[in-house]
Amino acid sequence: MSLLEVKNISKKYGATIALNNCNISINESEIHVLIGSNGSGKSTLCKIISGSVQADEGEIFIKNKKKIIKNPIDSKNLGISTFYQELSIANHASVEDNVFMSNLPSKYFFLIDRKKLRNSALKFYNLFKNVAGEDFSLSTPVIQLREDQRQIVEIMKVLASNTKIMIFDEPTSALDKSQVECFFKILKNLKKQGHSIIFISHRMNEIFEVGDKITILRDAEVISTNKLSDVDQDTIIKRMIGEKNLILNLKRKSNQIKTPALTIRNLCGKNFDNISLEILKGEIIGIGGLHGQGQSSLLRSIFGILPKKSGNIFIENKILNKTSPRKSINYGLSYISGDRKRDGIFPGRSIFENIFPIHFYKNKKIFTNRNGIQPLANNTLDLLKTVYSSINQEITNLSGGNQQKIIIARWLINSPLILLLDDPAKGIDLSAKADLYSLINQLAEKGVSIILYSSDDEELLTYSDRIFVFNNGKITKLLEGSEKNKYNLYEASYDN
Amino acid sequence: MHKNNKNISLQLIRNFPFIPSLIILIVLILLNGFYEPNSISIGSLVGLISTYLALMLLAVAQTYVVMSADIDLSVGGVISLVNVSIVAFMDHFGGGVYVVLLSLLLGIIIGILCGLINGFVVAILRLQAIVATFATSIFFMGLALYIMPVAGTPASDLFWLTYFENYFGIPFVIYALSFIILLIFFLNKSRFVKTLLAVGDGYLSAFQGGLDVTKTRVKGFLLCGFFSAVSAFCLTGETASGDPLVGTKMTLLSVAAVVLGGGALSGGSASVIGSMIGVLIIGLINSLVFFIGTPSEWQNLIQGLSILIALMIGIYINIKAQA
Repeated sequence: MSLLEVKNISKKYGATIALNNCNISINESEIHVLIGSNGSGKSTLCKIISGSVQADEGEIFIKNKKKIIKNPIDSKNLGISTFYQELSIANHASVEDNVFMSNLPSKYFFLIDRKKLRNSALKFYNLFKNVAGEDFSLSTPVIQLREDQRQIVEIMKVLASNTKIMIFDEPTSALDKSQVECFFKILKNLKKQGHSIIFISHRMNEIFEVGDKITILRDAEVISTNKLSDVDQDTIIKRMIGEKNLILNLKRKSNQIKTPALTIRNLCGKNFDNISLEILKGEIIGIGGLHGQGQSSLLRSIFGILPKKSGNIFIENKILNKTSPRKSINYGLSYISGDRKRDGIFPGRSIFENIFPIHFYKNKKIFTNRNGIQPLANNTLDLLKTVYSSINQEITNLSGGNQQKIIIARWLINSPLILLLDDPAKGIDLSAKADLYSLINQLAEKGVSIILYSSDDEELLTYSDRIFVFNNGKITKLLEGSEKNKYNLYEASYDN
Repeated sequence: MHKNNKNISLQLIRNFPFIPSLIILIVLILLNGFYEPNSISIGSLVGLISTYLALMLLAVAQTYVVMSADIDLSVGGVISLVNVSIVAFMDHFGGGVYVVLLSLLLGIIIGILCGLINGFVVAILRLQAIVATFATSIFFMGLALYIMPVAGTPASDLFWLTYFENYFGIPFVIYALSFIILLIFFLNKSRFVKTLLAVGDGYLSAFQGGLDVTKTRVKGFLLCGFFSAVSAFCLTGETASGDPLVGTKMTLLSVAAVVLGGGALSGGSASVIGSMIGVLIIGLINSLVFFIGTPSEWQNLIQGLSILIALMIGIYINIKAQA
């Protein structure tokens, strides 16, 4: 009998379709795995079930009765609790407070019953006591815990709610092997007691170890639901990829300069470890893998936004000791981020003001003749096929794609030597993407070296000469030549 | 050994986040005592508390909104409004015991209503707290000016005489302070304050964790209104008269006290006791500046600098304890 049934759920964010007509049904005593690449809609589906996001269309049935879930409180009352990928814990509160936050035991009407709280929390603490590390205690504020310990707190929180349906959205991403084993033992126990569990993970071996059924999502749609015993890893990956596996490569005049432009040796930093790579002049290097495996941190560390812990960065043959964005710019590095709001635009200022800061910095000018430099901007913007009515227009009046082009123009007017692209095409439309990448190709032909991180695997495979696959902060595979296809990329990304 | 020491200091700061400000407070008391030995007598310390009790309560009020990552710039306006309302009420109906008690009830209701208005515009209409409460503060001030256009109406004798009376040899303000501290002590152990802090730590995670974010924030403003009203009572006892502009200068001092007491304006971490200590720090800096004989034209400058230094020391102690 199905305990939870989701029918014809659709959700749009602006013009992007996050979920399209999805159906899924979860039985009692079942661990149901959801899998799909980045942006395929898994998290959105979970958030709709848990009430933190509202669906545009569709219905949710619990025990064959139609239910309306307006917020997480409704969902909890219906017997659903959720492990959120981005965690729903309060950083300054202690572990035990967090575990029971929405349902703190009380005495004398409003006081917290500390003794009861400690006793109830102890039950869940003991489950993880042996694997969570020495510095993990019930009274520690969450802010002082490591990432894996925080995930354990979020797991404990779900367990403490003891609901019939439990959703775990990537609960194991930061856990080590013994912690995962411990967690799986608990999951299997819950299943025996009749709980239904939705489980998301990108690690294949985990899926096969605990899952009963698997639903595969691709491009906001449910592709298939099977028993895990009926499918193998190959089939899953193929269904996630979808269309036939083609080796795509846009032809580009390769130039023969074999001198390295940027060399990185044993670089360690936040979220990545011991990275070595070398990029030649005129080469496009792709860094791939699942989202958040340290790719973005690496680029930010090279550019000097984040500090590096150890290791060396060489530009041509010069060693770059202390890194800072200003210094990197002087060395000809450019960093273009897909997170325009955080890293790119100066909102409320004109296109002109948004284009020239790097130019002014590089030329160390205090005064400048506006009419003298304006053609420079116009030319670059035309090259990028930017649509704008006047250079004095405020940047936020443009579409996302055009804003991004202005950020790119900012770096191009001074002919960069090395381009660090941190998911540069995030959230821009297809034609703007095509313009952007044809320009990147042209730059590479001119001898500019490019490191490209993209969350879109298609883009990565199409445009880069070599792909370094990241997994858990390390390079796990280098794909070159004919190896460079979607299948290999997925296999290396999902392997662990 | 070193690690052990670190753990102890961490534990201390974790359980009593106001410790850095407490250290600053003790240093200031000693400095005051050094320059003016009379200032550490019981009498002058009671005097200090009685002078700053209103501001201490206002800082308490402010703390409860800061906990949920909001801010209330209208607390000064609320004080003025409550002050003139109860004075006008007592003036109109005569100063009998029942009238005084009724006026207190009236004051509390006004304070809570103001909190409700703030909570409505900030948490339900989702206007920016800093600007929205600035606007309501002008509104409250306007109401106060309507009720009492000119300062100077005296409060009922019974009211301020009680405030300055000694009972069993102990001044009334000490009873008031003890009562407030007891109230705060229980509030600190309540589910509500825990929820308030969790909400302040991040609205989205609190929402996803199944907490009612809007309701909690509104309740924070209600509590703030309540304590602002109580603060207005102390102020009325202290000044013994009504003044529609009396709260103006106190708003930002209350915010400063919260920060001096170790509270984070970004929410999730603030200590009510710390904020009260923050007020005493401001008070002691003012008197210290006077005791060391600063020329009057330099006093403001020295006060400002000293508050900055106190802030830096607080942060420094915090960093040292955690590193």
